[in-house]
Amino acid sequence: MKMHKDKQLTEEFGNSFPKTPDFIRQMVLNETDRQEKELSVHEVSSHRKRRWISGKAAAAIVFAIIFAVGTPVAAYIHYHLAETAEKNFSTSQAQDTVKTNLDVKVMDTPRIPEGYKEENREDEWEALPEIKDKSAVLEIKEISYDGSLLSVYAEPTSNGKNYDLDVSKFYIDGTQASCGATEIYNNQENEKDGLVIQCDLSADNLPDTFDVVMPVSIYKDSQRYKNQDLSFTVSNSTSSTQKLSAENQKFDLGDCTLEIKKITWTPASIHIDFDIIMTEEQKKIWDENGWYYSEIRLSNDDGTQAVITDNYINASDTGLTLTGSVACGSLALQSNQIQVTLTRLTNETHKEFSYDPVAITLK
Amino acid sequence: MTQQQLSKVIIDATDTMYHVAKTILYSDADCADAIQETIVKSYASIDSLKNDSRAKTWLIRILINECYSILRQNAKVQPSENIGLREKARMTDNDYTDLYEALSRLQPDFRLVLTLYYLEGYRIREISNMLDLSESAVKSRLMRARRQLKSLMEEQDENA
Repeated sequence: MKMHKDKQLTEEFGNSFPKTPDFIRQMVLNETDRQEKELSVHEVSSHRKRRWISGKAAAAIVFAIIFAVGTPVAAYIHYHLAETAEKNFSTSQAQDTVKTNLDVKVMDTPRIPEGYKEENREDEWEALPEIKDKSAVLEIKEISYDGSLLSVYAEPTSNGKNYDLDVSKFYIDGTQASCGATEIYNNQENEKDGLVIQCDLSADNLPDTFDVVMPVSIYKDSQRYKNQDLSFTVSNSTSSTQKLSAENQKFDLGDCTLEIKKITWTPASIHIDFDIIMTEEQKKIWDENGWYYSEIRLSNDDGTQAVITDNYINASDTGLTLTGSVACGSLALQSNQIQVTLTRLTNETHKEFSYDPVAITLK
Repeated sequence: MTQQQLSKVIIDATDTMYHVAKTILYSDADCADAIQETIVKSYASIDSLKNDSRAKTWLIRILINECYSILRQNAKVQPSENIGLREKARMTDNDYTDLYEALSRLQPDFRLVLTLYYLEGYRIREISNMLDLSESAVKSRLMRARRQLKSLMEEQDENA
């Protein structure tokens, strides 16, 4: 099963991780033996003691910072966008994309998650209980869509506070899109206050108005419940003048060719699709030097910049054309010029080598 | 799958189960709880496993759910401290490496994809099935986790 990925990291993980304690090995042997003898579940699972809580300091700090600056409308989404961009989040244009007071409906029948379908576990899904109170478990407070990046901020309702909730995907006009969710915690009571969920939809060529279904996974203690699907409609209010792009530009970097297939730059996000193309000879040099991944850095005229990928590239795995597709939050849009710098690293020493930046004009 | 076959899968997967549990939880006692509960549940729901070749993936998914359940339970039992895993590691006398300490400072979701990918050698698609995430979501999580890990290790080097 082991693949040729990043050998150094794989080896370091193997050497660093604590070894399995003998008492756990023995417990596994004992427990499998007992189960084969059909010992009842209750007899063996009633002795737990709970001792500690996982640290949530970072999330609490996030919450504190939001309030330190005065909690404006859309503070959550804005803060998260700024975090994603790493630097120079600004643009009142991004603020303008945020909407509140949404019409959100609870769907009568939640979708079966794709993972259950793929593994023929529909029966397992059907056997999951539903929560008693069918009212919404999450209240969607803010939505931002700028023609590329969809961000949603949602808080648990009084019903939802009885459960642990999670969101990892949306269905956009019926098609699944994967999302990343960041949990926001209350720093005083350490209770989850909400989620910021983001989907990169830049490649989907969506109409200005589309329907979203947001499945919410629901857990309590060790029990999973059927999802609750929330639906709402999103409209893109960003004008075309706020969305710049460039396509199909090739740059000879000496020992490889960088092909920018598409860059899309909107008030709240940047998306870039690119290929790194090598000849057989160039690939050999790449392999011999142990280059293993690249970084794309976007820079404004004034030097402000955002690192938008550490896209994992392994020449020996991938072949001659190495493909990357990445997205990030907003780098303050200052002109229609952007510089793109490709950086590569070695897996031996993490030594970096940056190619000369290339300039791209967006239209 | 027979109970005897499941037993073999479980015993062969002991190291993987410990690694996954240790990635999400801190104490070995909690890891043992999670693994034990996973074993119990796997035997109880053995009939729901329709593809024997996916038994290990299925087992690890049960374990991950169990670990998060314990994590949530722990949060409710003692909601006052914000001690990171790294600090907990230091509070004991365990001699953890810099990499493990840095890993411990990441959020559990990030730790988990790194462990599954680098330590256990699972493919993106397998991790996607285990975590009920799309492949692109796994890649994205892996990318962000790697970036944070690198940053934390650089920070450790500077403080050394």
